[in-house]
Amino acid sequence: MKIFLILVICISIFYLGVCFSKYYKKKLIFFNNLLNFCEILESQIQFKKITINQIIVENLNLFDFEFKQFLNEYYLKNNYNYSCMFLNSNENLIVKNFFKSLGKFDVKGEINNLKNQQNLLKIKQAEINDKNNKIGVLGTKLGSLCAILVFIILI
Amino acid sequence: MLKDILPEKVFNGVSEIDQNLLNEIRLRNNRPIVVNVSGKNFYLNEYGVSTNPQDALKCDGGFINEIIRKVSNNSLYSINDQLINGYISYDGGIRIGVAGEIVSEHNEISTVKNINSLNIRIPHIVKNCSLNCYPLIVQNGQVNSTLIISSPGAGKTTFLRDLTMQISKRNLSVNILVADERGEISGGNNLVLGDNVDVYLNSTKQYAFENGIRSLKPDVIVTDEINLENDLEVIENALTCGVKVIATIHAKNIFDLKLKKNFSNILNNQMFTRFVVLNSNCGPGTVEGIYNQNLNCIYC
Repeated sequence: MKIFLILVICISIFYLGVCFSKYYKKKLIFFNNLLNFCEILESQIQFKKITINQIIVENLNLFDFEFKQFLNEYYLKNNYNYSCMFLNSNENLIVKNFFKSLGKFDVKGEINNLKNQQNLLKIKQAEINDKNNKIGVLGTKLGSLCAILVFIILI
Repeated sequence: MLKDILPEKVFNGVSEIDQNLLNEIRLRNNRPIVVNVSGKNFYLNEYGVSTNPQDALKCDGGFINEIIRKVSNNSLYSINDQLINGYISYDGGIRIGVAGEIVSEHNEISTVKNINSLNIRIPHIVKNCSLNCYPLIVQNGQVNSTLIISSPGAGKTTFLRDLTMQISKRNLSVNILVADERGEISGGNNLVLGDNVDVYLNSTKQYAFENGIRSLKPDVIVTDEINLENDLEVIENALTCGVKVIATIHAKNIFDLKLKKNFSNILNNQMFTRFVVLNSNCGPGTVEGIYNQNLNCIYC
């Protein structure tokens, strides 16, 4: 019974570490998806001139779950209060401002706007990537180490 | 359809009107909203129509912006080419006329800003409205090149759409090409015109005629609102290729048509062999007369 409890505690600590690193990974994947979306928008707007809604619907399956859910709730269902739990308020604001800036210009203006937005998003992506490499990876390692330490102490 | 594009307050009023009789909704910035019902104009209020401007719904800038946003689906670039030409086509053949401030760049119009007037025209399908004229337009399976003439709002497009449907329904071997410049004939390609109908949507007449003849081998080309100065050449070219043309033109009657520049070319070359004149005396689409290539009345 004691060993079982110790194992549960250790696994929980390890899991916490994994979750911590996943938090950063999710952010990174979200911003990678957002940048991919920018490129899709750029090419589709220039080529087909179809609406943003149509572009989203046609390409929804290309994205990961969280970004897909965001597109669905925020843009397609017009639920403007929707926020991603794993993004902080500043990051949520950046993403929402990006979507608010869409669809207000002619093709030339829209492409220029997308390029500007892409530059801003790339800066944010680099920042998150940096944090992910520094802190995110550490989370799994720290979780494993703590789990082993707790196991040794408690056994 | 209207629910998707109108602000809630406006839609509430419009929904009280018989949709079969509603022709137009006119929104002008800071002015009362006006609707055209059965050819007559009324003010719109929250409970339907009114003759009193005091209780009419007033259009604020927000209404117009909301409609533009909804029609473009939050993607202004997707309708900018239409805006430049002064209209927006919407699903179901709804056409929205636009007036505002023109923005130019290098002597070319780049967009329209500060839009202050909208005219939302609601199309109607009047089944079999062209049936009376059909035997004079299609004889022994051969379609006569036909020009449909009327002043704006007298049912040209409705007549043209029904005529296309009738020809398609009765003559499977006749391939019809619809050059739908503004999406009105085919309702933005949402209406089923027939099993042997191809549609060029939002294309210029020149593109549709030239490429259509080359690639789709139509027997009849149907198009709306021709301009005798710009479109005559492509129509002439189609006719010399053996393709029949059914088109519409703005004119009050055959006498007004004669005054138009280049009309003598049409007559001398016998480009059209039938002229259908419509008026709205007994409601839009009333046939005033049908004339042959010599402008002799064959149906009055």
